[in-house]
Amino acid sequence: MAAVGLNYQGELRDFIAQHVDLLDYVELVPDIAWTDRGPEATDRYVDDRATVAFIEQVADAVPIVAHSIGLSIASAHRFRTEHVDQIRRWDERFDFAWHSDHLGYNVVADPERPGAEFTVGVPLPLPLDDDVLDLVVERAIHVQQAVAKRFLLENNSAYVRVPGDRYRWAQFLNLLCARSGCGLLLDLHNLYVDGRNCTEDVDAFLAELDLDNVVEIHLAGGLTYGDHYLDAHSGGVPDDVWKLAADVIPACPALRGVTFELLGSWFGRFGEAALLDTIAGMRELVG
Amino acid sequence: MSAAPKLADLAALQSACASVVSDAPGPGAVSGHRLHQLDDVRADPGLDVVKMLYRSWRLTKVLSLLPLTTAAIPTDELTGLLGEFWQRRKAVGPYFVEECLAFLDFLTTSGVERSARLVDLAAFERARLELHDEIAAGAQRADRDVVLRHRPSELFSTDAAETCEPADSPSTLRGSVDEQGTERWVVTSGPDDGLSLRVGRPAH
Repeated sequence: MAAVGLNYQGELRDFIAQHVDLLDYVELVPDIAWTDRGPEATDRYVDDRATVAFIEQVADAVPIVAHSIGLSIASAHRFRTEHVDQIRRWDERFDFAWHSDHLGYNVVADPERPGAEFTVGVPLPLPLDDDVLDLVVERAIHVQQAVAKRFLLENNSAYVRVPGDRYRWAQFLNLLCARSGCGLLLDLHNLYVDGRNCTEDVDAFLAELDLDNVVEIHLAGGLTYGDHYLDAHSGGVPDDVWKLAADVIPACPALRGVTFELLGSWFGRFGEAALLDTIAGMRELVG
Repeated sequence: MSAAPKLADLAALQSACASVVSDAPGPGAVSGHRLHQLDDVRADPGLDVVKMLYRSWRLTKVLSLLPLTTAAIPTDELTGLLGEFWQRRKAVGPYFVEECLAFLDFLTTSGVERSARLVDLAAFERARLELHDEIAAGAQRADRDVVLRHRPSELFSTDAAETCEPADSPSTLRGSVDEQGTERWVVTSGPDDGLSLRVGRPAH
C-alpha cells in the first residue's frame, strides 16, 4: 500500500504539526531550508534555522522525502555536482525515505559573462533527443551512486514543446528509467496541464508509459491564464486528476507514495477543511 | 559529432532559450538544427506563459520582501524600474533576500530621482532583511541602526505616510531581532527618541 504525504511550506507548519498523524511522510524542497551563498562562500550552504528546526521535529514523527529544485539535471553547460553533494549530506542528516528532482533545466551558461551562469526559475523547453537522453542518464547514474536512496525524476509541465523531437515524452521517460535505473515521480497534475494545453495526449502518454517505474505520484491544483492552464499548486485537485489517479495508482506496482502539493500562499484561501478532505481522498485512493 | 561539440550546441540552445524567456540580450552562438529549434520555440504561443511565469517569479521576490519600498513607487515607474533591473541583473538563484538586496542597490545607484521617503523606506527594509538573514544563518541576536530623515512615527503611519515631510533633524532607529525572529524597533535619537515601533512584517 502506498503512503500519503504533503509538501512542506512555511505557511503549512501549524497544519502539519497539528495533523502529522494523518500523514505518512512530509515532502520537503530542501533548497528552501538552506541558502546557497555561491561557490565563493566559505560556508556555501547555510541552514534556515527555523525551517530546519521544524523539519527535525517532523522527522521524529514521520519520514522526510526530499524533492529538490536545484539540480537542473539537463543543463548542458555543466553538472551541478555540488548540489548532489549537498543532497547527500542532508540525506545523512535526515535519512530521506527517497529523493527526487525535476527532469529539466533552469540554470544555463550566461553568454554575456564567460564562466558565469544564470537561472530563470522555471523549466525551459527541453528537446527530447539523444543528446539530452545521454546527458541525463549519465547524471542520474551519478546521483544514484552518490546518494544511497532511491532517486526519482519528475515529469515537468511543458508549456512549449521543442519541435523535431526524436522521442515521445513517455518513450523518453521509459528509456531514461531503463538506462539509468532511476525511478519516476509521475506528476499527474503536470500531465493534466499538458493535456489541457495540448502539448501532450494524456491517454496516449499513459498507454505508452512504463508504470513499473513510477515510485511517487504528485497531485495538485492549478488555474487558468488566458488560453492556458497552469500548474500553480493553487488549490484543490481537479476532478479529472482524481480520475487519472484512480486509474493509474492500482497499475503502479512500485508506487511508494502519493503527495499533495499546495503552495503555502494559497493555504488561506484553500482552507484547512479542504486540505483535510484532500488527504482523506488520497488515503481512500491508496487503499 | 563527438559529445563535447554536441553538448556545446545544446548549451547554446539552452542559454538562448533562457535569454528569450528573460528578455536578455542574446541569442549567442546557436547554429544548425538547434537554431531551427530556437526559432520554433520563439514562435510558440506557450512561450508567453513561460515568460509570464519567469516575470512573476522575480516580481514575487521583490513585492513580498520589500512591501514598503515598492508601495512607495508609482506602479508604472516600478514596472519600468523592475524591467531595467532584470535586464541588468539576471537571477543567480532561487533566493529572495539576495535578489531584494540587489534591487535596493540598484535603486541606490540607478540615478532615478528618489523621494526622501523612498530613501528612508528602502534603508529600513534593507536593515530588516539583513537582520533576519543574520538570524537565519545562526546568530543569537542581530542589531542594526538606521538613520532616517523622517520622523519614524510619521514614516510608518498609514495615515500620514503619503504626505509626511522630512523632519528638521534625523532620527536613528535601532532594530534588533532575536533567535526566535522577534523584531524590536526603538528610536534612539531624534524627535521620537525612546519610541517603540511595531512595523508590519511581510509573510515569507
